[in-house]
Amino acid sequence: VNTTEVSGDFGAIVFTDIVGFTRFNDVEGDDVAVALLERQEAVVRTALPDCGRLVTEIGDGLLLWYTDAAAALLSCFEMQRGFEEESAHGLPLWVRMGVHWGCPRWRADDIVGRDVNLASRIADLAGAGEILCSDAVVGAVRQPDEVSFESLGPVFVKGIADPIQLHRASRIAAQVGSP
Amino acid sequence: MPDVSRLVVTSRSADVHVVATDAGSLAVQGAGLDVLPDGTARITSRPGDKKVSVACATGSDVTVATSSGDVVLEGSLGSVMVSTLSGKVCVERAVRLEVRSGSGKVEIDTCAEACIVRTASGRLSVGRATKLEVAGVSGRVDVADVDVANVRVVSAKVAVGTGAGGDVNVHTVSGAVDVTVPKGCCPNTDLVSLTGRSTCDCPEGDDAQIAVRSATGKVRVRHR
Repeated sequence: VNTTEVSGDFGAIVFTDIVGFTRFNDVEGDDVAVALLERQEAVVRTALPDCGRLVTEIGDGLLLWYTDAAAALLSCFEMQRGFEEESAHGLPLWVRMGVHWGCPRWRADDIVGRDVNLASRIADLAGAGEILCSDAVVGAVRQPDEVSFESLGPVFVKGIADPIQLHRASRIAAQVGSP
Repeated sequence: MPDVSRLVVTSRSADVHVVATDAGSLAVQGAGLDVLPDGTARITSRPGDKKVSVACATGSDVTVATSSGDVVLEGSLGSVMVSTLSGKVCVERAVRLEVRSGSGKVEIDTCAEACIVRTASGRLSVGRATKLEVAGVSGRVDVADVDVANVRVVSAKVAVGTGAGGDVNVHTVSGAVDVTVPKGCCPNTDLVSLTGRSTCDCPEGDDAQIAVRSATGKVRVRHR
């Protein structure tokens, strides 16, 4: 029997979602769809740092957990780069991502709770290749030199009463000649 | 009424109607108004409000968020951001625009600079845009006239019009793609349809750059 635990640990909760997967599956068939899922997971595993882990797979999406917000975003940028490369050589692997910083409940190896739901809802708002995040993520990034945030204003998300402040995360390109 | 530099309107289900005029004064009906020290006017609908009406100065920056309310923005605005889960969106004229929409129809008349649209299943129509970026799932995308376009949709039918000097890039999984150029325009095309049919009815040249990639959709480039 699983028990739900409050660890008290904050972390970055990341949802990935393949855009239009159901339609893609319908058009291309199960074999191609399964191959697409495997391509997604391979890219994600390659980009996971030590402070990150793949929590679970939910349909065509993945739930990831990181103990460091900046590392989570850098890892997301790396994944999107990998997805772009994959898309250039075959059928499109368009992935949208939602990130929230929070304190979920642990249920065995899974995480649940409002913060997890919010990360999922943020992913729903993203377009292909986009990484959207909550205000809490912006506040939790302690080394913003490699990450920039663009405020997208308030947005409503399904199942949550009040609008949340949404941001788009981008990687700041390294300066030429910098160490 | 104090001077405001930016409007932020939030409304769960009430429709939002913003009109920009040269008269310039801010007026709000059907919602609460709170002007922050930085000049931002925060306009929030109250329970029971059916419609939020806002008059503002031409060129104002506007952000609107609704859950199910429709959004209509009339007149010339500056930087505009609209998000809605299921409402319809109609924007007459903006300098910069970003729309995030779930299932509602999106209509954009003119956007002078960058225009970004994210849709899930609604129909998108754009009159004139300088630089357009669309990411969508299904529905239909109609763009009458664009200089630079980057469109990524899963199964939407896409129709894009461009002119000499245009640069159009469309990527779909299954939707048909139709790109039109003016008579006499000879575009440089890179058309790939893995299992569909791709045709260019125009003579090849270097007047415009058109790249279309589709897994199963039919691709056609032609004169209008």
